[in-house]
Amino acid sequence: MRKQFVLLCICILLLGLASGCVQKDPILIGFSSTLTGDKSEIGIALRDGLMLKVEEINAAGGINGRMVEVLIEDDQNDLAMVEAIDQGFVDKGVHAIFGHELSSKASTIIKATAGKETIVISPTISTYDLSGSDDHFFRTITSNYDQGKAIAGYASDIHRTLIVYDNVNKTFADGVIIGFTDNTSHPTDTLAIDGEIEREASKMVDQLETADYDSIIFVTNPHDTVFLNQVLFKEKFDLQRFSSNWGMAINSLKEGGQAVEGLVFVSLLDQLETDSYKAFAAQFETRYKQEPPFASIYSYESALVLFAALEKTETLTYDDIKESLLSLGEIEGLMGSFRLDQYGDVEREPFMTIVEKGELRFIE
Amino acid sequence: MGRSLQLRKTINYYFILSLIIPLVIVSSIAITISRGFLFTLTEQANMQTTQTLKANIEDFFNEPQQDLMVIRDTIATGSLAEDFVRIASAFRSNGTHFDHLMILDDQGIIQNQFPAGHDLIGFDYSSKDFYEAIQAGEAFYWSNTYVNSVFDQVSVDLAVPLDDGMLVGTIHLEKLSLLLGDVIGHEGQIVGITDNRGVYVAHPDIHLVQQRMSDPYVNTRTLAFDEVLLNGATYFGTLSQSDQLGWSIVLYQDKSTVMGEINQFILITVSVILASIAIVTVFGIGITNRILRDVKNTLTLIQEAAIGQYTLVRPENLFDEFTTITDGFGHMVDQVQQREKTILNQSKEIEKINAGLELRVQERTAELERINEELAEALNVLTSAQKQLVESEKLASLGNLVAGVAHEINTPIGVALTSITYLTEQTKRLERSYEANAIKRSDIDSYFNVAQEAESIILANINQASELISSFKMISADQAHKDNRSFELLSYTQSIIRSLAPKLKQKNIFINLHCDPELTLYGNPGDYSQIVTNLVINSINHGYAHASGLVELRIFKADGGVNLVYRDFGKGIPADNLDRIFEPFFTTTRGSGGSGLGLNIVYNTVLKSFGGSILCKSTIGQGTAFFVTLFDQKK
Repeated sequence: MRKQFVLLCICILLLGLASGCVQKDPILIGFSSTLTGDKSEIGIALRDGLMLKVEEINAAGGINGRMVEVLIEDDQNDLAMVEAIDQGFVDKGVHAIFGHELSSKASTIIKATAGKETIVISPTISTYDLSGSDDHFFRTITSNYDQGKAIAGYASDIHRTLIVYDNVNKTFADGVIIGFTDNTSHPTDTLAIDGEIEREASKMVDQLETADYDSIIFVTNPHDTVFLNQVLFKEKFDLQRFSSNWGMAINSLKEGGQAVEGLVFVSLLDQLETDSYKAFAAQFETRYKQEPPFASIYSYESALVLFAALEKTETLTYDDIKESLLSLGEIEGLMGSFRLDQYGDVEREPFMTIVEKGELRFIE
Repeated sequence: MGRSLQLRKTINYYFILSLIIPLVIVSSIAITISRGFLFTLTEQANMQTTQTLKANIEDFFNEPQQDLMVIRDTIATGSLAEDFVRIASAFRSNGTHFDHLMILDDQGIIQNQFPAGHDLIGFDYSSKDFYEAIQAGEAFYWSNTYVNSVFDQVSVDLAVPLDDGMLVGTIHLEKLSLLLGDVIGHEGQIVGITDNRGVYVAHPDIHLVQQRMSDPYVNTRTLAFDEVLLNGATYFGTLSQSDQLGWSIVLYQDKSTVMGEINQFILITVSVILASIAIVTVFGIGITNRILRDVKNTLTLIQEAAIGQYTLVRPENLFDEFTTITDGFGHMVDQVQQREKTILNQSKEIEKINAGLELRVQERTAELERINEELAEALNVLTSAQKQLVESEKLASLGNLVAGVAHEINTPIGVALTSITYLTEQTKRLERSYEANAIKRSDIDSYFNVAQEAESIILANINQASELISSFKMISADQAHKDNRSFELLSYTQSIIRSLAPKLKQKNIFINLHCDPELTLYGNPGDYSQIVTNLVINSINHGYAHASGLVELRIFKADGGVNLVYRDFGKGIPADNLDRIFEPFFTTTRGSGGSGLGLNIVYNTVLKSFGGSILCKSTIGQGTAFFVTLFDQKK
């Protein structure tokens, strides 16, 4: 009697255990960007692009049977937070850190993760400083230097230029400014803005009145770019206006009305006519009820790269993931194929676009 | 015989199983029903919550819509700039929903704003959706939610036409979370409100609102208490969409809390079951032990009785039934004891009887053996008697022969004697004449004629007698000797027929013999004579018992021997007797001297002396035929 009872108990216990231990540990991805406040929209767009890919992978059963879990953190555009979050990610043993969005955070990210054997991949950090080094940092966007160079190449008939840049993202701005000044001979002034936008706008107006400027370049976030253009519109300045691709990282043209008409953007998006892009865009619009912004497109593409590498990595160790990333070869992205170079960076040709009747038009 | 069971185990198992099975069935049904019921309850509660929130949202949007129209109507009747500030501030102090108001002209340029704060006057909002909608003739227009970079707030705009332009009110959505106030706080529930793009505008985790997080399911599927994954955990999702702006209310009920309640219910049920089982087991074992004690008592009693211990001490049983059994058993043992005594006595007697019986059997056996020997002896006597009978029967046919010989010889001898007597008289008469010299020549001639005639008569009859004697001698010699030789069948058969002549003549029976004179048979002629003689005697005595007639005997050459077809045309043999005619001592004329051995001798002689066969066919009134095959006995 007693023997049978013990046997029954063991059976029940085994059944209970068996039902509990089937699922494999998830693949952990740390995502961080500025997700709150008026400078959050790029971070949000990055997150949305990444999450679309993650949801797609998990719905298909994960990577090699392991679900992908994303730890989302808001760095509140604060470098101390960036460092703390990334250190937190390293401590939690994430398989990769995805993000942040601004080049200004690049050195802090490197500081927090150097020697920690954690892959960092960013869709939008394009700082020139990180190019050409064999490190744990991977980017799928071309360097900021090329953007300045592209504007210089396009704006050949200007004589004096004011470059308004966001001091918060000085790292990025510096690359653009150097790229521009390296490739032009006429006088160029710079104005850093880092306070309340209305006050900074007044400083810009004041600066413009000090000299005979015929052109202005914005290396500012999308909202600030629109706001400063609204001020120029309101104050009826007649200038050739240019913006880095940062200014169009989200779909912010609706904010600008006539104020952004004629504004020329450096664009890192081509005509977006591939089938893979169309499929992605349809999926994105279903999920988020909006057209995919630049940051989401780049985020989705970076996620594509990261998960392709993770899928080919059995051990999920740092070295294997890095090796896998560098050996991916030709990657079929949303804008045709591209390839990571030996340093984990990518070179892509920038395009010039102009706002006409509220829409962006490619300039040949 | 099947597997034997142990009473203790069986009773225990049955006790427990008879409890467990109904309990498990009832509990399973109860758990299944309750589980469904709890699920439905939770589902309905969640539906209720989302419906309440939906109503709240619709109210939330109705009020500012009314407000803004009232503001617009008030402004329209007054002078523009100052009135606008005054009216807006009046509404604001009355607790309007709007955090910011502005007036746009027909070009989308901001003409006025309240409160002053950020100076947006002169900005071009002509590419905003609300501008396009109002310009297209809409009576009011709610924008998508967006992060208002000027105010650093997640906001939504409401626009109504005002003269050629429009009045636009901006609401910061942080207020929306107040709507959740009444409904959030339930354990394991996440209630959120999303805008038409699925982005959270209210959520218990305010960070998700601030971070413009999209709900993963709002735009992709409908949820009616469906199981979904959220942040790696399983939830039951309920989704309700408001017609107002297409906003949605999502409610995620943590599966583990729902299951927790159900599991608690199951735990209680299972505990009750286990407790019941434990109690019944204790009681069951107690009762089993008591039953088994009585069983053991009974068994002890039976075992004692089994080894012949008839003086039984009746045990104290708990159960009446066992007392009845032991009492009954005790009574039975008494009876058995008594019967045993009786049987013992009887068996002694039987032993005695058995001993007497054995002696009798021995005596009877001895007697039987003796009788058996006597019978064997009698059989021997009988067998030899039968042989003697057969022999005497055979001798009887020899007697026939002798009678035939006597009869046949009598005639020629008599004729010869008469002739001699006549010759003697003539001789004496001639002698007297001679003595008297009265002989005449004619007397001498007459005497010579008589003498010569008598001489020839005597010679002929003596010769005939001699021939008869030699042929009878031959037949009788053949009967006496068993030597095989070749003999001519025609002449030999004629001799046999001749020996039977007196009997045949007596009955006036004529034998028609057909046989090739050259035909011979190698064997014992005496045996052959026995066959023919007995067949003819049979026809005389039976077939023509009261009549005369014809007998036909045809002899043919056969392969290695001859075939005889013997046929009479007498009264025939009845079918019942036909099968028995060759049996020894079978006769229909026992009373008138028939021995019943004639045809048996024929049968045995055909088979044994000639290795042949015999078949009889007969028809009543038409006669009887024998078909005999005899083989040469050379080999």
